[in-house]
Formats: sequence, structure tokens, C-alpha cells
Amino acid sequence: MFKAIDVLDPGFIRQPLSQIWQLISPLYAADEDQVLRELMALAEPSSDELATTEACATNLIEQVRADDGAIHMIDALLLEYSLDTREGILLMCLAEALMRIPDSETADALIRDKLSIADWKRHLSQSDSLLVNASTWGLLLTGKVVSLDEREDGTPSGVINRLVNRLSEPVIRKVMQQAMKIMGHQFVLGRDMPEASKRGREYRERGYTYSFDMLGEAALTEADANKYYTDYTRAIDHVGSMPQVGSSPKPSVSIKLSALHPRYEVLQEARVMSELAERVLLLIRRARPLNVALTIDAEEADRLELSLRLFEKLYRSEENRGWDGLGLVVQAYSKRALPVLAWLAALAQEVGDRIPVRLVKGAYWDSEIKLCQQRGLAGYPVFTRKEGTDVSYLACARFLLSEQLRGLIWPQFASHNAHTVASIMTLAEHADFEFQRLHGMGDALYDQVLKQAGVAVRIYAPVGNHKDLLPYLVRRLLENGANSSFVHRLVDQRCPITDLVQHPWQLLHSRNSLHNPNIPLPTEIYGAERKASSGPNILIESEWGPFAEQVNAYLNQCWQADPIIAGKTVAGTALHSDVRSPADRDNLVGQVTYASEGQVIEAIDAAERFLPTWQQTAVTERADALRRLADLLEAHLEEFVALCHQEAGKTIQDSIDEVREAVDFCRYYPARAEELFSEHLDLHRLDGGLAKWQRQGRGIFVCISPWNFPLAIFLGQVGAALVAGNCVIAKPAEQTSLIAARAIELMLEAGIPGGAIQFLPGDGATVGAALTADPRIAGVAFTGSTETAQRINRALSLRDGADAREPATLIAETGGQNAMIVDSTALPEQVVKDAVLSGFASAGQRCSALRVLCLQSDIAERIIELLKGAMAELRIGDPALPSTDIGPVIDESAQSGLLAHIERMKEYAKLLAQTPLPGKAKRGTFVPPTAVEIDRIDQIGREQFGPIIHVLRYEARHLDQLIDQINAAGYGLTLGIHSRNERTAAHIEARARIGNTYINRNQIGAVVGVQPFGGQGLSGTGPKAGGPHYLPRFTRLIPTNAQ
Amino acid sequence: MTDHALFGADHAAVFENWNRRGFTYRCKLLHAALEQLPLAGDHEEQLRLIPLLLDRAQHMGRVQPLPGPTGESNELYLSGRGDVLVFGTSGASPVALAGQVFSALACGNPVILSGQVEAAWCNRLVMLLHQIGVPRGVLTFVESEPLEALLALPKLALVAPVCRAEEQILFQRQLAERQGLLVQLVAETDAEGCSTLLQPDHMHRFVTEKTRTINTTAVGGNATLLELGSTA
Repeated sequence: MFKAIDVLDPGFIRQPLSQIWQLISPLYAADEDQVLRELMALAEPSSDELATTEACATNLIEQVRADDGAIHMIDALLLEYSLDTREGILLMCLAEALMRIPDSETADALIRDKLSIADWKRHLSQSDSLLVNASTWGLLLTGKVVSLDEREDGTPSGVINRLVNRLSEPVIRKVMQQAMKIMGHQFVLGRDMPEASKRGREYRERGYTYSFDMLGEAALTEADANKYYTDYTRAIDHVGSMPQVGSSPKPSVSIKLSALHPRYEVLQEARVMSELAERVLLLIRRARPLNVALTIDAEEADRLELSLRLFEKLYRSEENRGWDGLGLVVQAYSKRALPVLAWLAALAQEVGDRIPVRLVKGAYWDSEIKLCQQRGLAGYPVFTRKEGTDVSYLACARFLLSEQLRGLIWPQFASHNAHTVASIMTLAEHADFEFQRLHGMGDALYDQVLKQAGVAVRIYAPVGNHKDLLPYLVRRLLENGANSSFVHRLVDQRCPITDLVQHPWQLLHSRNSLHNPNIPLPTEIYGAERKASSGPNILIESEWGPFAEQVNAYLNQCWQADPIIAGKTVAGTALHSDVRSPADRDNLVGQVTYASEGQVIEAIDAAERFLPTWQQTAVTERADALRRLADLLEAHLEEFVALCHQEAGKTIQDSIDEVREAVDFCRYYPARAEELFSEHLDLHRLDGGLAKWQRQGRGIFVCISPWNFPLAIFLGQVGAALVAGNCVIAKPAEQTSLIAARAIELMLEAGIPGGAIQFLPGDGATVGAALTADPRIAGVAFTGSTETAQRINRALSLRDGADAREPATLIAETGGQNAMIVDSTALPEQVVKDAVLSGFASAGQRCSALRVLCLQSDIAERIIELLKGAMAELRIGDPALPSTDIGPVIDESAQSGLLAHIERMKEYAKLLAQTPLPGKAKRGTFVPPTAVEIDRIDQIGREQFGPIIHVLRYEARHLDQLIDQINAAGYGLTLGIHSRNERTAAHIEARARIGNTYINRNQIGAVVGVQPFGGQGLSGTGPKAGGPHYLPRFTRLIPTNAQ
Repeated sequence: MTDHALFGADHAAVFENWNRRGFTYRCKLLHAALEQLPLAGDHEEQLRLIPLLLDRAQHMGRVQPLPGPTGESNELYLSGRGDVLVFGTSGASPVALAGQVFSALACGNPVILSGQVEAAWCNRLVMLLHQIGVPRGVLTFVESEPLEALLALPKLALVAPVCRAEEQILFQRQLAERQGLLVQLVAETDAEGCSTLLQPDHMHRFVTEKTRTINTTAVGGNATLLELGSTA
């Protein structure tokens, strides 16, 4: 473990740079308590420091509280409309979306959605701020008027009221849009640089300086990146020409790398290090002669290492040599913050140019936590307690202010917390640093700092169009309300100053655990019932390196699959099949021997013989075997990832997710089975008495699985049937028998008896047909096409014989014609990200994949443009390469069917975009991601199981007809909804006859036990896989005795 | 025969409205029929079975929150499957027929009750249910339509007969010949004891499951998590 206190040793940063680099990555998900213990040793205040800091903080707070004009602008707004009140959230949500809505109908609906359900009255005259009071009056009036529209139970109220409402809607809309403009004015310094510098002049005259930022969404397309680049060049030129104002230091410009390149991602490192680096170097060439310092803003934790590598390249460039102007932001909530600072100091020492470093606490905390939980990572990259972050900040500050760093790093401390500011002032024994604050926040606090400390203060100020910037800024506030918390307490006279000046070191020290026990580790989110599946973070060097090495070791392996009956591999038919990689048909992956018809009978016989034993085996024993299988799957993750690349053409993350889903099934179903089989079944009889029943497996279950989830669905079906007490005959998809065979080997290793699981690779005509014709089969679990499900159903129904006294159970999970409905309140960038992922991930070969993107016509053009641009950035190719976004489709048959559909669509529809295939694609079965525009859903015909998105425009007033169209198609698997109007989203969700609906996110990747998966209508019979009602369908109730 | 001919052109909307009423509303409504159930030989049994079924259905209305990552809400709830055909064959009892009808209706499905057997009683039951407020489009009595035609109705989602065990094989065969969605067969083969209807899994065959996943951070931030981070 990295020894934090060592950084104070001047020798530490004289180590070779590569040695310090090695300390960074392993801390990504390191044990939080251990990391904090290290940092606490560095951050611990001496008694003198403690006393001085407390006195300084107390003085600052007293001065601020004594200042009548202390709170205005954003502070005032946040104070009144705190983000922990409903009104605060609603107001910010409205601000986030309203200005981008082009059509009045949808804008009015959003206003109704947000304003009519809150208590605006209680905010009236609570604030001294004119802005806040004006807003409150507006909100109160509009809130009252719009709420007349409906009664509490949702039914329309009187005609007059509704008339008033309709008549007043344009007025309300205008008022609200004006209010949002005022708000935008508060959040954004200027719509362009001249306006920003004009508005900022007063502050500059008072001694402040600025860092201007053209903040906004990350670029999704080359066109957007070019626009941001132009904005940055204009900003640099303008700042370069700004005159000196008094003693105020020269303003600088902050740049966001994700705005300058559409693929600023770890997996696209080659492009980042060439294309993006070149673009930033152009900015440096422009800024340096004008002496306009550039600061590279912080991004999410996954991109930290990439940012540092890029920074090093830029910093060492000829263009930068001898310049002290290129800086970057470091986030103290990151466990890696301190070694990053040490590495930067060592870099500066080696090269010789001073690096400006802005130390912030961090702005993506909640999304970091969420992402780690979704991906089952080993830990969090950020601290889980606020005081943990504060301690880290102070540890970093002590290092940054140490004498050895003078001349190497120019520290820029960004905080709105009076105690943090006081701590910095106490720790500093020199004045070679500056403070930074956000535009509109912390005015009074920093007025005091300027007055008392004589240290420079830089204001971080967004510049740009309100319509573009307000949503972004508000989202940052909504996602990270931490900024507002101190503002409240700072000015709230009821809050004792002693509470505000408690040192975070002392607070953390007083805790029972340094980590936050209320935020479970990612694999612990399901509590005691089961562990969540885990996976490596392939974006982090220390995790990716060893993982990739192990995966690569399997890539040249040749696998073999044979029938397995009663636990023994048996010779199959003379029919052998070579398995070739879909990405490269010359690549032989292994060989499969198909089962014969005779072996089908042998397998059923074996299952039948073992059935009584398995049914009598305790459920806990069956469950434990499955849990052992889960552990074995995790232990063999790398091998399965290699197999998924090779046999199924899956990309790296898809392969990891595949194994994780299988693991989750193998832990979820045991928990459900133990619950189900422990139920007491004393059931009423019609004569009034009670009868005892017990549950048992139905008998022999056939599991026919698909190639698109060759491990997860295969083991999901098999595991559910087994743990419910059935003997299973597994017939994998012909295309992916190797993966299934390896899974069966692990099942046997896990202790599932050979009699309980038979494995019959083969085709549908031989193996499938023989199985479904046998009257001893009690049930079939099938995932695949609707047509095949119908054939199986027919075959099962035609069986004769004494055993077929009741119809076999058929659990069929079939296709979908999945739509995503997007209204004009949606955030276009988020829509396109989610649509591309939902439509093209796994080459569109997911049951849940997006097929029909329904866009409200008012915003269709913008989204189509973004979609085209985003598709142009996709990379198609070898799925084993980290840079590959999209791999091949499974085989020639799938490929030719999809290509034929695309050709047909070109006749009936408008081709919008098609991502070109690389030359090497000829070796495999690739289909170019394609977007076409259609007029009606029924133009698509049957489900197209590949990377094709059909775009359909609709008018806002025809939303219900669109839902009718979707329902009329008969499928009902997944639906995506993008709308900031919660009522609209709820209305669509309720009306659509769909199994899985996803609101404001992508619509793929259902997680076991979290989003039980399955559709209705043509999409399947139910019950949902990975849900609480799945296992009972694999069982029957048997009467035991009457009471 | 088409669904429109049987139900009317607005049948989809009728189903949707009935389905959206919710389990609690429907169970309460159907409960009101208990007092006036048309008399049959097994009246007492009906009075025991129906409340049990309605009680079970009542619990099915619960929206079940599911665990998951922070910043997202996941819920599972149940919804009607669609048109249900209920009929009996020779030997079918009113109690079992009533059980199938009440199960289907309580779960939010429109029902076609065919009077293959016990026609007069079935007719009275339908009239009663209409009287207490079950919309006409939701419950339809057909007396003379041949079973083959009913089993071929295009929008049928589920068939719930009261029949002998060997007959259900034949019905299954007929249904399997259809194109389109896989129609579910939920038969009660114990007309006297209603042992299938009394099982806890029975009612679940009349519903389909829906999950609703909401990225809550998109409309309001992750206040819960932020609070945990600063106040733990």
C-alpha cells in the first residue's frame, strides 16, 4: 500500500516517474479504510493548526453572516430551493429541460408536470433575493393555475377551470421561459466572451480573476467536437486580448477533453493520443503566445489514467516546453488523488516547467458509485463519506503547499467550504497558490478571503448559450448537490458555528469505520441473500493488464464439445462440425460432435432413472451446487471471455457481462428455490378442510438455448430447472456448443450429478425434434425465434402415450420489435448514446435490442444528425480488441438475411446512415450498423436480429396512436422511453403492452433479480427469467395427505 | 369469426381500461357479486372458492420494488394477459367455471364465457356481473358459437376450460395449430374439487409480468445517495 506520509519526503518525487506511476492505478478500488488511514496520517492537524483553523473559519463565518448582501445569485436560489426539497428538485428539472423544448404543446405539458405538484407558497418571501422572490411569485401563480387542471385523483375538473388553463398556457409558458432565462443569466457569466468579460469586469476590479469555460455536453460527433474547438479558440483569442485590470491576475481558459473529441475513451486510446492530442496542441500553440493559461478539466474516474497519459504527452511537447500555462484538475474524492499529485510533481521536476493544478473535491460522485455497482467492480474509486473526501483534500493540500513543491506545482484550491478555506490558509506558509470558486457561488466568503489573505481568487465561469449550458450546469447541481449544503449552513443563523468548524479529520476519526457502512460495496448490493457477480474494470490499467494477459493465453486454444450423458462424454454421430470464429472464418476455434437420435433416447433414459433421486435431494443441496458453479464461473472468467470472443464473436465487455449474468442466475435461483420449497402448502379444500401439498420438480425438462447468450441464458434455463428439482436435457444452439460444453464440465465439477444433467449438442431437426416428440418430457424452456417456439409447441402437443396426460409446460422467450419513444423534453445527447448502445451493442443481437427509434418530429432532425455523427465514430472489427465497439453477427445465414433486409429497406425507406466496415471484415460475418427512416412500423416486417435501427417520426399529438401501433405489432418485449415529463413517461409505460420498460436510459442489459426479463404477446409466454415467478413454472404441487 | 364481431371495435381500449383499474378495484367490484351468485348445486363451494381467489388476486396488485444499483428504481408488477376464453365440457361444474371466470376477470382480462355446458347458469352469471359493474365489453356470453371458432379467435391470449384431463391434450393440440402468439391453456380438470384453482400458482397463469426501470437521476438527482454520503 502506498504510504501517504512518504510524499513529504523531498526524495519521494525524485524517484523515477514510472515508479510513482505504478502507485496510482492499484488504488483505483483499494480498500477505503486502508487508504484513508494513510491519508489521515498526512492530514492530521497539529493542535496549533487545529486552533488556528478553527479561529480562522469562525472569523470567516462571522464575517459572512454579518454581511447583509452575503447571499445572492445561485447561492440565494439554492438556499431557498434547496435540492433536498421537492420544489428545489422540480425547479431544477424544469430548468434542465424547458429551454430546449421547441414545441409549445410539450413545453406546456412539462410545466404542468413540474409545477402543479409542489408547495410553492411556503417559499414566498422567505428570501431577501429579488430573483428568488420574483421566481417564487411566478411559480406560485403558474403552479396554482396549472394545478386547476386536474383533481387529486387525476380526473379532469370543471370546464371553466380547464378553459382558464388553456387560455393561460401561452402566458405561463412565456413567464416560465423568462424565469429560466433569468436563471440562465445567473448560472452563465455571458452568452459569449465579450458579454462575459463585460459582466466580469466588476469582479476583476475587485481583484478577482477568471477561468472561462465553454461548458456543455461531451461531444458525440466530430461536428460537435469541431464546434467546441472553435469556441475554445475564440475564448483564447478574446482572453488574450483582455486588458490588465488592476492587480487581478490574467484570466485563463478551462478545456474539457470530452468536448474536443467524440471518442475520448480509454478503449480508443490510439485515437486520443493522436487526434485529440493534436487538437489540444493546436490550442496550446494558440494560447501560449497570448499567455492564456489552459486548464484541463477533470472527467470521470475511468478516464483519469488516460487523462494523465495525454497530459504527459502534451506537457512534454515542444509546443509546451518552457511554458507554465498548461494545468489540470485533480479530484480529492478519488483514492488516487495524492499519488497523482506526486506523479505530477515528479513530472514537473523532470521537465522543469511549473504545472498549475486545481484541486477540487469532485463532481461525479453519485454517478461513480452507480457505475461501479452496475459493473460489479471490486470497490469504489471515490471515498464514500464526505469527511473522507475532505480529509483527502487536506492531505493533498498539505502536500501541495509543502516547500519542495514550490516552483513545481501552482496549487489552485477550489472549495466553497469556509473550513476548507481556513485550513488552506492555516497550512500555507507561503503565498504561491490561489483559490478558485464557481461563478455565482461563495461571493461573500471569498470577498473576506480577498480582504484578509491577499491570495488570488479565480472564478470559474461558464460562458455560452443559456439553452445549451443551463441544462448541463443544473444537471451537475442535481447530480451533486453537495455544493449547496454548506451554503445553507453557512448563512443559517440557527446553525451553530461550532458545528461548521469541526475539523473533518476529527469527524472521520470519531467514526466506527472510515468507509460508509450505508453504501455497500458493488458486489454486496443484494445484501445477505446473495453476492452480486463481479467483473474487472477493463478501463483501469492495473485490472486490465493481468486480465488481458490471461484472456490472450486462451485465444489459441482449440475447444471440443461432445454429448455428455450420465456424466460421461460419449462419442457422437459421425457428424462433426468445425467451429469457426464469426469474426474470421479462417480461425478454427474447435470442433463439435453432434448427438445421434439414439443418444437422445439414452439421455432421456438416464434422466428418467435419476429423476426420483434428484427430486428427493434436499433443495439446499441442489442450491449449493449451483452456487459452487457460480464461483467456478468467476474463477474461469478469462477462459469464458476468450471463448465468447472466439465462438460467439462477442466484444470484451459483452463477454464479461455474459459471464456475470450467468453467475447472477446461479446465485439468484438458489435463493428463490430455497424460499419456494420452504413454503408451507396447507391449502383450502372446497369442503372447508385443509389439504397438505408439497412442491416438486415437474420431471424431465428440456432446455433449448440461443446463441446470442450462449452461457447466460443457457445456464439460466438449466440452472432454474435443476434447482427446482428437474432433471435436465440441455440442447445448446448449434453455433455456440463449445461454450455450453465447457459450462457443463464446470457443472459436473461443481457437484451437479451426471444423472441430473444431460448435454446433447446437435441441430433442431435431429436432437430438438426427437426431444420434443418424447412423451416423457415434462417441459421445455426455450429462447429463440417466435416461429421455432410455435414448432416446439406443436411438436409437444402432438405427443401420444400415457405419459402425456397433461400438456408439457413450455416457457418460451421469443423476439421483439422493440421501440424507444423520445419526446421533445429528452436530452438529445443522452438519447443518442442510449439508442446507439441499445441498437448496435452486440451487433444488435439481443432480444432486447432497439429496433424502432420513435422521435417526436420537433426534435427528429437534431437527433438524426447526432445519430449519424455517432454512428460515424463506431469501430467495427475483431471483438477481442479493446477498441472494437461492434463485432460480427453470428453466421452467414444471419448476415445474408440482415443484408437483404437493408437492401429492401433502401427501396421502401430512407437510408440515414451506415457505418463503414473495415477491410478485414470480409473474413468474417459482419453487417454494417445501419439507420433507416420508415413511415410505419409494419414496414419492418418480422424482427431483424441485427444492427439496424428503424427511425420513425411522430407528432406529439399522435403519441397515443404511436403506442397503439406498437401494441398492434403484437410483440411486447422491451420499450425505451426518453422524457423529462414524468407523467408522459408513466402514461406511455402504462399503455404499452410491454414486458420490460426502461425510462431515461438504454433498454438492454437486464440484470438478474433487478430487471426480470421477458415479454408478452408474440415475445413470449412468461414468466420472466431472473424474476420471482420463474421457478414455480418448473414445479408442480403434489398432494401429500388430507387433514 | 373476428374479435371485433364478438367484442366491438373498441375492444383494445375496453381491455386497457379494465386492466388499468387495478386488482383492488376489480376484486372489490367482483366481491359484490358474491351475495347474488346464481344458484347452482355447488353454491356453497362457490361461496368458499371465489373469496379465496379474490383474496389471492388482491395481493397480486402489489408493485414489488426490486433491489439494484443506486440511482435507478426497479419495479415488478402484474397485468392482464388479454382475452380469455372460459368454457366447460361435459361434467364441468358451475363452481369451477365461476372460478375460472373470476380468476380471469380479477387479473384484468376480458372474458368470453361460452355456454357449452350450464348455459343458463353461465348466462345468469354474466348478467349478474354486468349488473354489478363489470363492463359489457369485458365480459361476453356466447351460447351458440362452435368451440372451434372460439378457439380460433385471433386475439385470444388464454383458454381456461373446465374439462377432463384427456380433453386438455386435444385443446392444446388445437391451440398449437394457431399462428401468432402462444395461447396459454389453463385447465381445471378437477371439476368437483377444483384442485387446480385452489393452488397458489393458478392465478399467476392469468397475468403477465411487467418491469419498470427508471433512471431516477435523470429527473431529480440521486438525493438518497447524496444524503448517505454526507450523513452516514
